[in-house]
Amino acid sequence: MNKIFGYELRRLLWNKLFFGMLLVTLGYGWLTLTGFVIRGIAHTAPFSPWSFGYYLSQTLPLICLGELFFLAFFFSKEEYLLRPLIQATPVKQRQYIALRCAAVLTATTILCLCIVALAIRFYVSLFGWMNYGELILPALLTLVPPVIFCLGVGLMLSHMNRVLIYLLMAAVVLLSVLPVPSAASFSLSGFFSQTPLALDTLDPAFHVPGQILTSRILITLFGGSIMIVATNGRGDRRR
Amino acid sequence: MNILRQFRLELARLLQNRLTWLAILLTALAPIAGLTVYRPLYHDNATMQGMYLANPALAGGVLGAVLFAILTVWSMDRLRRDGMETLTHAAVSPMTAALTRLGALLCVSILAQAVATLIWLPYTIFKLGTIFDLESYVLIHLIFMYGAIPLAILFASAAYQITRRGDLSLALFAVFAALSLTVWKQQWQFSWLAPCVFGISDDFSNYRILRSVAYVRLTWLMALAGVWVVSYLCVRRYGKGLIGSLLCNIRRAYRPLLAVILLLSGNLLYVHQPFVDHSAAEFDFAYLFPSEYLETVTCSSRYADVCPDPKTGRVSGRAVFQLQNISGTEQTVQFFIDPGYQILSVQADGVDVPFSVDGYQAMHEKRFDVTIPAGPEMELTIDYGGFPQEWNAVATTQGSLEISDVYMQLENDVLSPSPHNVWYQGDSLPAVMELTLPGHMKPILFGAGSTELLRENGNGTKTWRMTDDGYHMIVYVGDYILEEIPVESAGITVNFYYSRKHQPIMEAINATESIRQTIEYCTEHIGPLSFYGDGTFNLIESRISGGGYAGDGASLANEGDFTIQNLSDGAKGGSSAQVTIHELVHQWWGLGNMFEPAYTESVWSAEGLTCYTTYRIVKELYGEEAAQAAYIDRWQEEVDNYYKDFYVRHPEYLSALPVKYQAGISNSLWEIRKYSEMPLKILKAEKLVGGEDAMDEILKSLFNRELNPEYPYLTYQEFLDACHLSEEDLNLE
Repeated sequence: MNKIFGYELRRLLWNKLFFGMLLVTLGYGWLTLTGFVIRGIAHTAPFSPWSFGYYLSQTLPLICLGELFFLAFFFSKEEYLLRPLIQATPVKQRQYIALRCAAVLTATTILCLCIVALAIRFYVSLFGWMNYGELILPALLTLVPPVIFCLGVGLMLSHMNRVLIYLLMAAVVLLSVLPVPSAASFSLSGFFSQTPLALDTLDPAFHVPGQILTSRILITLFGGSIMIVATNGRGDRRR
Repeated sequence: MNILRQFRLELARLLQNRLTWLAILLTALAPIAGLTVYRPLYHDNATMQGMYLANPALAGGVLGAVLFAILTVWSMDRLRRDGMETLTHAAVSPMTAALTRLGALLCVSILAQAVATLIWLPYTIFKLGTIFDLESYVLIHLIFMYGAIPLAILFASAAYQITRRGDLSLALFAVFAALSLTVWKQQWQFSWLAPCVFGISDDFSNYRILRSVAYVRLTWLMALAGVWVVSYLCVRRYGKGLIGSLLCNIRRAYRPLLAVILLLSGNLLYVHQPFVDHSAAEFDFAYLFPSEYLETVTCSSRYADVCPDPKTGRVSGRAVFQLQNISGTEQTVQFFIDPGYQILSVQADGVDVPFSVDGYQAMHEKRFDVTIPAGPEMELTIDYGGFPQEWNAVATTQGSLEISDVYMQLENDVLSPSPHNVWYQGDSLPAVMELTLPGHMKPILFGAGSTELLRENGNGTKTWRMTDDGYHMIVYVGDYILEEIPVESAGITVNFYYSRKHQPIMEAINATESIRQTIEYCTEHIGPLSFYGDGTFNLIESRISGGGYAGDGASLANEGDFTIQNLSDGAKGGSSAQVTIHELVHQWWGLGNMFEPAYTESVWSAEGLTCYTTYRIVKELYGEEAAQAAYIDRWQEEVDNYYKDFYVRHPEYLSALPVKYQAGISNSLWEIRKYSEMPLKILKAEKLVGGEDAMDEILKSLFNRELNPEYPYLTYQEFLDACHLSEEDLNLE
């Protein structure tokens, strides 16, 4: 299984699609850092968890688009034509799909780590700031739920019709730009840019209200459940 | 197959498809968004053409570009999607097919634009009425709207030819478009999709901003055409992949050569753009003042013969200075000139003398040094010319340096170079200019001075001789009406010059009454203006711009302050003509009383007292509620944000930033202090001294104080002393 996973991951990473997405995301991230984040979000320091979270929320749509493109790569027309061959192998379909999901997740994680590394490089070079621990919570809060959600829903939709995955991409962009309440927000950009302004203190410590935390957990659980259902359902039908 | 025949077939195939017609229809309808959801020119002083012509055209450009990018990718992916690619390529070379497909798509986009332009014509005529002008309509549609569509087609087509994936090509286009609408929004040369347009004039011409946007479009067209040719080299052939096809296609040397030429052209156009100068990012005020004056060189007269060319927007001229160098040795005299101009030759008494142009530019000035020979009297002649450039600090609000056969704005160094480090021989150095203009145009001098018609030339032009009593000269040229507004209580007559096109609006909104009330207020509450010998000053309506200014004997009224749209909105209260009021008040604060030239270390400037007085006038004319909302609330909000700003609280981080980031942040913080913090401090002083009447008395005493000719500036300390307050008393919470 490890060999298949390694093979699938290599296919995904050693691909112009991955490098293209990485380049575009890093470019957009850099422009966001030098154009907006450098001023400090909501009067906090540019390297505060709030500003960092805002930066991630701005790059999140591109990360999710990248993830969905990776998924689309495994469910392309060419892959569909190869399916009879794969089904003839002794590997269980459910496991094979799970492996591909893991490959997509790994590639997306690498994309996220590159984005985080870019911000850290920016903070260190401009501000000499190195308190990385503070960044873990906003990073997890911003990135994990949408990534799991997109993977689960994307997998489910691609099983129905691979065109639907592109509709999901459009929905991700819409969800990120629509002015919805923080608790229902997909990217959390409003949460990072407005919460410190609503608090009485300057440079407030980063904290996550229960409402936001609940919504992020729900998004993660929903995405995870869909992913399990999609993997199992597909596997059963193909067995 | 013949390429022309192939093109016709491709075009016919495209036109037979319903999706193509849907794209044409939606593109034609796209300007609706400019009337509803996407209105980049929707601000307090948007003009009618801005609202009903430029906004729809800009929105049409954005949506049209998106629609044609989708159509391009769909059209290119079609053969592959339907599995017909192998068959087609057996009959037609994929290289020829790529070319003809691009040509067909461009033709369809032209058709879509023609339909949109025709459909929107009646509506625009109806909305603009007498302002409508067919030339502006066509140019704005072509440049603002159509300009974006070929760029989108080229990008989407190039992305597809490289990636061979429809979804990825669309995603790349989405990112490219998003960049223009977000992070590149304030960078005029990068905004390929939605260009930086601040205002479109109703009363005057718009050639400068149209040229600027067309130039940006051309820059991108060259660059993207280069990218397209690179992608053309990647067109897959003989079943090979990207690299194999590239190696195969590159064999014909003209293809990569063309790509390089196009990319280089784009780069050259970007680097050598003629519209905006290259001033240093930080506000280098010290650059404006010489480090030391030449003690042994004086200037006794300055004259220039200036010929603005209304067709090209360029200016050429010859400046003559009468200099005296009593040092007995050569001396280096510094001059300032518009950064866009070239110095063609410099002669002292008819003999060429060496000169060098400084590579450094700051505060919208370029300096050049001339080595003059020793001599008690000499005539220094400088031939110069070029396309005047606007300051890069206001690059997103271009258009003010308009030079056309409808309107000209010729300010200071745009007219002629000015000496920098020499003393005048007398008390002042009046500027004398001879200005050759098209026969139908008449110049209006901004400051105090005289204008006379010198001669009518045979070629339909007239030469005007103008003398400005001050050091600099500012001239407006256009089809102006003069309305004299006598203000008896002030003993002043305002010569109000405004565009003939604007006459019905000026009458409808009773603009003269608003001007009279402002002057009456200032005279009563601050004091009479006593420094105008003939008791008049000019108020001139200018083309729409980001603000106004005031000078010796004149103030500028922005056309945006007098739009019917603006003044019909009663809810705006005082905001309608506040810029004009502000610039009129500068006749008292800033001109009637001088302030030391601004430095970033100090926020005491003419703006503080001018903003405060403007607030008081608006309060009197439009009521307390309107003034509170338009001024105090806005100042307070900005000051609150200022004090909370991370870099204000932690200046050590700001000073540690690289200069390019530091300058932008410092400049924006300084503007807040000047325009919001200082007026709030004065408002606090008003409360501490006992109210408005007490403050009026203080301001009156400061305005009418006896001036020290050695140091005629009104200082912050003088203001504090007059209020019997200390600097700490005015600290804001």
